[in-house]
Amino acid sequence: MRRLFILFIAELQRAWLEQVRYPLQFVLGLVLVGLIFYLLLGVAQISGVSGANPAQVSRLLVGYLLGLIALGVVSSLSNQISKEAKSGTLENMVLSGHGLTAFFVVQTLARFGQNLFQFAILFFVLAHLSQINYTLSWQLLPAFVLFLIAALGLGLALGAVELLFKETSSALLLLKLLVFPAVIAELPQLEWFPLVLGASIFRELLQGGVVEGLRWLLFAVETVALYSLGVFLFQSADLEARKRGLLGHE
Amino acid sequence: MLIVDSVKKTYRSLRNVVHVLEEVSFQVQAGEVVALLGRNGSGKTTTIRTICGLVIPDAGSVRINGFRFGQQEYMAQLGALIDTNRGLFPRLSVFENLVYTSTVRGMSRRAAAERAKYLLDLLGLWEKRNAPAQTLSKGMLSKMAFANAIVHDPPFVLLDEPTLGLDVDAAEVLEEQILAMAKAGKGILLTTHQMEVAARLCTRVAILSDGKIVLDKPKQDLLQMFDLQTYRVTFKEPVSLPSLPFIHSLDETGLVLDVTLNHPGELYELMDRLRPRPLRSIEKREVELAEIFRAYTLKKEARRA
Repeated sequence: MRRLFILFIAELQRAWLEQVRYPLQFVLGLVLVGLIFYLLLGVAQISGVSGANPAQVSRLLVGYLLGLIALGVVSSLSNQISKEAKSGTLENMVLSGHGLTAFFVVQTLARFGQNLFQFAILFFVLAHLSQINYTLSWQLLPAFVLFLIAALGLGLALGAVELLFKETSSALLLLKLLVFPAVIAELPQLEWFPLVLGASIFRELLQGGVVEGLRWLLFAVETVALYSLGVFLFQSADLEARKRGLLGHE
Repeated sequence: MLIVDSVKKTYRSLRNVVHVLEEVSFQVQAGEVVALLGRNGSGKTTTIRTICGLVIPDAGSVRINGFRFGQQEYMAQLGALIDTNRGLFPRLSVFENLVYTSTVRGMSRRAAAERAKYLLDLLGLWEKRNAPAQTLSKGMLSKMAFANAIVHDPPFVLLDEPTLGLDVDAAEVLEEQILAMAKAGKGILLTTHQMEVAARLCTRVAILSDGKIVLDKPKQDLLQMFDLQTYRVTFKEPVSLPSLPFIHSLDETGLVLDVTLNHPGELYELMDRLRPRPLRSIEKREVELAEIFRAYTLKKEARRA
């Protein structure tokens, strides 16, 4: 556990150093994400969401940010595998002795940890501009952790595809087209879809609602299932890639 | 001790089956520099990648100081330079790259920083410590990749063509380091196509041909063994030669013939075969590692033909 913590800190520092070398990317990223939100808000208003109704806008904002978080976590893992393979650092990760699954989970969490700051700024700025008041309860924490773990599970599954087949940009685009709108949109009939139930629970909690025990249970089961499946697929792909001698090749 | 024991590896695809390693076995002791030599495609890099755990063998095992791959201590015993032009985070500085690798591999931050400074000084890269890795020249990248492989001070180091593409000075610095590490008790396995580099560095030679170790001997024994059997024949006038059952090469002028015999007794047979030609002299010659390598890999090819 201590070794993983050291790895987490090293990855956090690395992510930070890489980001501060390119500050413009960071600032423009924030601006772009803000603009997209207002674009979405505009589209939503055209299709019936009233800008004067803070409850509806707040639900849209939460969905939007959760969608961004999910996409960030899901795509970070496969993007990093691809980057590390290109720079030849994937071999060093194997040589570090942590095991690829642990390494990439920790790396994704570190990168997410670094982006959390970005998300927090964005959330408060957009919430302020949109004049939204949220209810903060302790239940948000487990909901957020479960949501994050489920996203990691999806990320690991996509990482497995990257390890074996390389070039997952099409798969990632497909996932973006499916998951992102599903997380943003509030459609109860889509709650069986990965991460959608979690986003819905999160929204309810932020608006001071009470979530039924059964929905919590379903959310937890979905998270465990997604994460276990992701780990299983990633470890199987890791083993297969080593058998085929693919590991570290672009 | 690093023990590679009966390792086999075959790659199968829909169209073909390639036997890359067939029962490869050898050892590297502490303080020893073993040169793993072989032609392109002979299986050297697959052997290195198998030891690193990047490739899982179909059969056989690798142990380092008693630890098998999969045990946490296994990787702690090992440092590896797999590709001299890659393996660094391009956006991190030279110094940050080394500190990252050593902390991830278990060193404290302070020890990592000290070690990084020591290595950068040693390799003449201290001036470049703040430069992002992506801005380094090819030679500097090679030196950095070497430093990255040994930064956590492992007891065994694998070096896949460490001096490839380096200028004379840089290669010399690296060679000095390799010898110093061996003197300090590290076991080193290196692959190279530069025979003179192997000859300068190694204490043992293993030749890999078509996925098999065809020779594994201490360098001195090998040179002595061949020294007895290597002759230079000089003719008084240019000659052409019939096919000879020995490894040989006649120079362009047709005046000098270098011959490697399988055993000293063959000298008489050689004399018989050359008799009608006007000989000036026959003398024993000091053999070079490149000739031994050529002799062994050619023998293998001849047998196959």
